[in-house]
Amino acid sequence: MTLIFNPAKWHSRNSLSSLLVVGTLGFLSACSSSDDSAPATDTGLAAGQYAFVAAAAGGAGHIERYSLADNTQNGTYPSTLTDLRIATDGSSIYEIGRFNIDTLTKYDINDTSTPLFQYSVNGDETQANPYEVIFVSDTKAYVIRYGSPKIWIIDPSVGAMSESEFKTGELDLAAYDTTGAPNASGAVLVGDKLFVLMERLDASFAPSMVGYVAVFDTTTDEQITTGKGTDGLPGIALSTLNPSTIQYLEASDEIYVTGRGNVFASPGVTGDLYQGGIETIDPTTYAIEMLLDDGTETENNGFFSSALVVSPSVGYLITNTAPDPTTFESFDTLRSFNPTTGILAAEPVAGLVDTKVSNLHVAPDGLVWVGIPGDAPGFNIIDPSTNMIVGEFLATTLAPLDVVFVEVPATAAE
Amino acid sequence: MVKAVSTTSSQITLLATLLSASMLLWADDTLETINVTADAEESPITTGEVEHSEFTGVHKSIDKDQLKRRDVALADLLAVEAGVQVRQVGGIGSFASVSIRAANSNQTAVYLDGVKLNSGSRASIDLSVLELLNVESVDIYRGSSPLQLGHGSIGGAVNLTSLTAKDKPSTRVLFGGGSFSTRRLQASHQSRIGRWGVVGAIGKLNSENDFRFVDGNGTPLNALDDTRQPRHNAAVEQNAALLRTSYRWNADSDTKVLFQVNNKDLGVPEWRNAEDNNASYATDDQQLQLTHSINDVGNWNSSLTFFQHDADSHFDDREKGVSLAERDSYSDSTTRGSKFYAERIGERGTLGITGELRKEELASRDEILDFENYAVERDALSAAVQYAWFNQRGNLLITPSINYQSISDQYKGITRRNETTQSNQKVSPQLGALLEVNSRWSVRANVGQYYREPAFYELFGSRGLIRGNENLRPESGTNADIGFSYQPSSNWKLDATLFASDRTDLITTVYDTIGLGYTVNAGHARVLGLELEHQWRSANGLTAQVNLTVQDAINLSNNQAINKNTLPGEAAMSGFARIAYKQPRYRVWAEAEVKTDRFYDEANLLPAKDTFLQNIGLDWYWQNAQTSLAINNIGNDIVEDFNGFPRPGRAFFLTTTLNF
Repeated sequence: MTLIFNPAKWHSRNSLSSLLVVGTLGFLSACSSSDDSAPATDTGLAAGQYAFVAAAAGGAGHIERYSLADNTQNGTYPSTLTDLRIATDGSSIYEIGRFNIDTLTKYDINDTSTPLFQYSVNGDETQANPYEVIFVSDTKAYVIRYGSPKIWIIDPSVGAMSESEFKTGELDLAAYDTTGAPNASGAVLVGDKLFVLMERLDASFAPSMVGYVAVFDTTTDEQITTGKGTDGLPGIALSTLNPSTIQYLEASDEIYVTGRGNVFASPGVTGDLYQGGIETIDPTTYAIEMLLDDGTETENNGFFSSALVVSPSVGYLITNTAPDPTTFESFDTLRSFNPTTGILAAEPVAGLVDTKVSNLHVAPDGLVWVGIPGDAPGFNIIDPSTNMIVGEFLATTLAPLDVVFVEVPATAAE
Repeated sequence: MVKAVSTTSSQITLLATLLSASMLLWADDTLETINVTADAEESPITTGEVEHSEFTGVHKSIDKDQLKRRDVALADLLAVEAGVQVRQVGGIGSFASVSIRAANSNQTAVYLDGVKLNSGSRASIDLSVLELLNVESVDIYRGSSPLQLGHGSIGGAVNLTSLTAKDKPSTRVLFGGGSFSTRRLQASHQSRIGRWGVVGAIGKLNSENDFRFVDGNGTPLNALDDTRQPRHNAAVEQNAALLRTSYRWNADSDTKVLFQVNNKDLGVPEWRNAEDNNASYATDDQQLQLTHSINDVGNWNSSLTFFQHDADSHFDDREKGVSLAERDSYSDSTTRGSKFYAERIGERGTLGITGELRKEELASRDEILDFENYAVERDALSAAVQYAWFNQRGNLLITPSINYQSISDQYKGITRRNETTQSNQKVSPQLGALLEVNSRWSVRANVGQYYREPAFYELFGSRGLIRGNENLRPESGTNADIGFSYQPSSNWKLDATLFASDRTDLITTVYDTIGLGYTVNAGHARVLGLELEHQWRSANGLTAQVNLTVQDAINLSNNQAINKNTLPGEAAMSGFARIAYKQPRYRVWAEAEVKTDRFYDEANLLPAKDTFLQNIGLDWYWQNAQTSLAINNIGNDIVEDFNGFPRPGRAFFLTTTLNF
């Protein structure tokens, strides 16, 4: 089986629900051989697929490396605090240290001890809280910073002693918020356009304003006026509150945004708590439509926590019950939906009802990895053609927050 | 060892005198008549204070010379004791909490003259607000607590006894300064006038706390961006005052009144040491306690205390220097109550009864995020009965006791939750035994059950994405220890104790998948340990003290990531050694402290650096003055008890004390 992907067009993972944007120029085929006799490569790891899982528990976090040949863990990266995510440019991995970490660390997939670089992304600010890294090319990427109105433009190819060359520019989102930061929580790259998702919470972190998507031309780094904004803002105004995830699916040429609504029941937000849903954005015309509404307080299937679109006909949605008024504990259910019709499946995915589900990802073989936190963390794997859990549970050491997949190719000699 | 039947010292003196006289008479009947005049001074009434001769648990009193030090704070003195660990957030005056035998600071009770300072609104006591100037003695009780303190806690107890008036009046003035622009001024006076005793003390402390440290810029794997910086926004200004009066009604009764105030303004440094951060934390504490003691009423001794403790705090972060959102938070708490103690001393033992009724109130508000404001009231009742029994020889003491505690909380306020109440009652037995094998050896053993009531913020507090849980149960702990003391002479003593504790229903915060946190009774911990203490002194002024504590304090959890991991913040090994040489004109001393194998996190992935700190000092005495020079942390090691919050490095302090 041959895996074809173009690192220059690879889109990194997105935010809390950890969507994997399958926007490559090629198709991801099945994994390479799990044969133990697969030839070692120049990189040190045996040829094959590897999963790099950002995980955390008990006040610490790290990246765990798994060989998909046998689903075993074969390395862990240095530990840090708990709020971390991961990205990849196709050949290296990037640890995104979020709240109270504020760093970007690049690692070689073979060397689990020494970073290729580790740089703070605060600059002159504090609590920048990087949420995402979007790779445009080998020498250009955008760092989406939740705690700042500025997006950093960086050169990810610099070495460990080249911090002065790391940051090359900024994009400004200050117009979208009056509290100091519009809470940019994710982004996707579609062609030469960067679509940046913003939660726009108020000073008390309540979603009192609708979310927005700003659009930038990556060749000029200038913001594009979409004509879909209000109050003179150039971006695209959403109709949902508290958007958590943004994803682009090349097969449908649509951008999908998931809004959580007033999931924390912030008293500063008026109206129904269920002001969320899944909206679609046309990346060319910027037209926006509600695909799947989350309902009302009297009729709903729970808050929309995050969504993953696998194909034009299959998508998955994590719904979250309203917190118990006494214990404030909430539960998750995984449901499937049709990204074209917006119809939610009548029955949830078996085995993942009223439980804890934290994130969703599409693996190279097309199966869906469902992150399970808690006392026995790991991933359930779902076959989207049947909506059933398949294979064995992949246990992780700490609770999974995010995952990326990298293939180590066989050597040319093979 | 048998406690003497309550009597005045004049009677003892008279008895001894008569015995001596009778012996002399018997030896030589030609002696002249001896006239005996019983005019001895009245001994202080200590009813209600801890009677150590009837306590079987592990007890350590901090050396009085150490309490006179002004280069350190109370937290520093506690930190070097066996079984005790202290964690401090930053420099001088910053938040410092104590834990005993791996119990956290919420589970360690701190008392002032026998009245508990911990409350529903202040589960953990900030040691930095307790001024060393105002303290006569500090006693540490590990694992089990004496009856007179009433309701103990899972780790143990620390009791601070405030200054008391002596027969010889004295006035002391102290001034000094040192590193980080630290300046200190203190004055105290104590005297007796007739039946009145009075103690007054005032103190002022200022420090910029601008110690230099290496800021790693949050990139532990990149040393190239490290810079050496002064700590920003860590200054402290602290004022304290104490007034204690006593009136001796007669030989059997007295009344004591204590009034103590402490206010502190403290800068709150930012995680990355931002220069433009102006967050601050101000506290105002007041304690008022009135105790009336009366002895020999139908063979009963008793004391009754009325108390009121006020603790107000203000966290000002309107510029979002350290918080995610603007904050202007106020916390006003009041605890008032009464405590009763009575004892009946019999031929073979003492029956002791104590009871306490208290009302705790908290009003928590934020001027900006006012939808999270709330108020709570707690009514608490505790009672304990103990019989300290001695055998015929008086070398065996057994102390069975039973404790009862009941709380009832009423929550009020404008938040996401309606008005609600919760209550619980707990009964906990304890048993101790102490055997004096001979004049050199003694062995002791204790076992008991203890509870820690949930704090208000754990029950009802909602800040940001953390929610309280009004269904929380008290934390529970079963403690046991066994040990021995070996004291072949008054100059040498060795203590060793094996201890164990099993703690359940520990309150922890768990997070759901959308990031909302809430408190639950989900924790379970087990602690095993060994404490060794050695003290030695020579006739020529040399003293030495060595402590060593090794402990295995682990989490027992269903979560595989933390099960059987070391409890965060607890060193597996901690040791302390001190040597001093004292002469009439001077004293020199040196001490070293070591802590190893600590983790910041429950997953044990973030190890804290092992520490080895050394301090030296010189005290010089000349007439009525004492001048002290201390150099702390000679090696200039930067220690972080809390990850990312450094403590000062090397520091010099020079103080002069004038005694009148």
